[in-house]
Amino acid sequence: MNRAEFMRRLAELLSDVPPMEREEAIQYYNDYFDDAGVENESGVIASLGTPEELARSIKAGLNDSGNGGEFTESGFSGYAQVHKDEVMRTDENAGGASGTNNYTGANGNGGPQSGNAYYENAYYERTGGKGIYGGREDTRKQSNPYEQTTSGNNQTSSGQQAPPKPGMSGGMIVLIVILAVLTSPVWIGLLGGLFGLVVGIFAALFGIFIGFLAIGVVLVVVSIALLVTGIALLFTAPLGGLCVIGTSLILFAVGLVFIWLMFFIVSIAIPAFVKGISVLGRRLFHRGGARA
Amino acid sequence: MVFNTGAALLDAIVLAVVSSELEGTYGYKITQEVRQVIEISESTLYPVLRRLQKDECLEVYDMECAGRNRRYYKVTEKGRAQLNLYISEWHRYSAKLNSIFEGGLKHE
Repeated sequence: MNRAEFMRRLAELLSDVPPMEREEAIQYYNDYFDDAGVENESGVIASLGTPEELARSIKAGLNDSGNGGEFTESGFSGYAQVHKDEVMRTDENAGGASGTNNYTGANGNGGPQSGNAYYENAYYERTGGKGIYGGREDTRKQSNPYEQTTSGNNQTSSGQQAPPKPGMSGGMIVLIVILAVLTSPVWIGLLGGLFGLVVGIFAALFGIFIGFLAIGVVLVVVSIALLVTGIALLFTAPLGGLCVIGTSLILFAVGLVFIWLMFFIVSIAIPAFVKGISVLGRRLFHRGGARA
Repeated sequence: MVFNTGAALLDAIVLAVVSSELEGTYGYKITQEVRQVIEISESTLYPVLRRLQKDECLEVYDMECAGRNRRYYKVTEKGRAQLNLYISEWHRYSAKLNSIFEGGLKHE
């Protein structure tokens, strides 16, 4: 993605912010690219992140009144929406006499911001949503901005990060899917092996069945042909004819034996095998169910 | 960086950087100078500058530079007062921390 594409995408993504804000941001980043120079263009794009991320940070900035939130190497994260009207600051802790964490902006020390809700919040520094100063409330009538982010008490929702709970369960699902995919070589291999074994045994039985049937049928056909030949020979060479007839009868008997074996396999062995498989499967399944 | 930079501290740093230039300075330069002291991404500063501008701590003007208009940021009177407040707050805050880190004695 080059600069022109980046800026076009950014302008698209900012189409829902007020035109003045959009132009302001576009001008800023155009300036930024100009000042960085053509040679740094790709570096700037890499550092700014995707246009989506940039648009999100711009939109978050629009709703931000300077309260909470944190600026880290990865940009603006998890800023808290604080209701300005809830932030009724009292000046009694001016000068830090109370000894509490009076490290925030205006503390009423005759500062010019007195009465301005803008700087009046504790700036809770947070890493990944975890409050470092979470337990330290000062004496102001103000609830913890961190709690407000998670309680869905937001003034606006555009550009906000999702509340942590659904994100976590989504993450769990993703994790499970990833685990399943990662372990797939193992369980797909096992399932495949079992399936192959069953199919193989069936195929072997089927092969034997087909073989016996073929041998039996061929023997019977040959014996009938020999019988016909033998009967014909009886008129020209009676001795040879009898020999041929006898051979044909033996072959006929052997063929019948093979066909009978085939019927034995079909009627007894295969049902027994299927039954054995189903019993095995039921036992496995039953054991698995009992364990779970 | 071990310590995170909260919004107030970032405001203070930006105001300090901008106020160091009497004629004002521009976004890219501010970003580079802030990045020399704290680790922030290049996209962090625009919302901060915009907010400080809305709160009248910064004012902007466009000036022609190399054939194009460049937007300059300059600290207002209000911004300067705010910066002074931040600086005195910082001195108090850091002094307290230092007394804990180095002294170990409680001054209650």
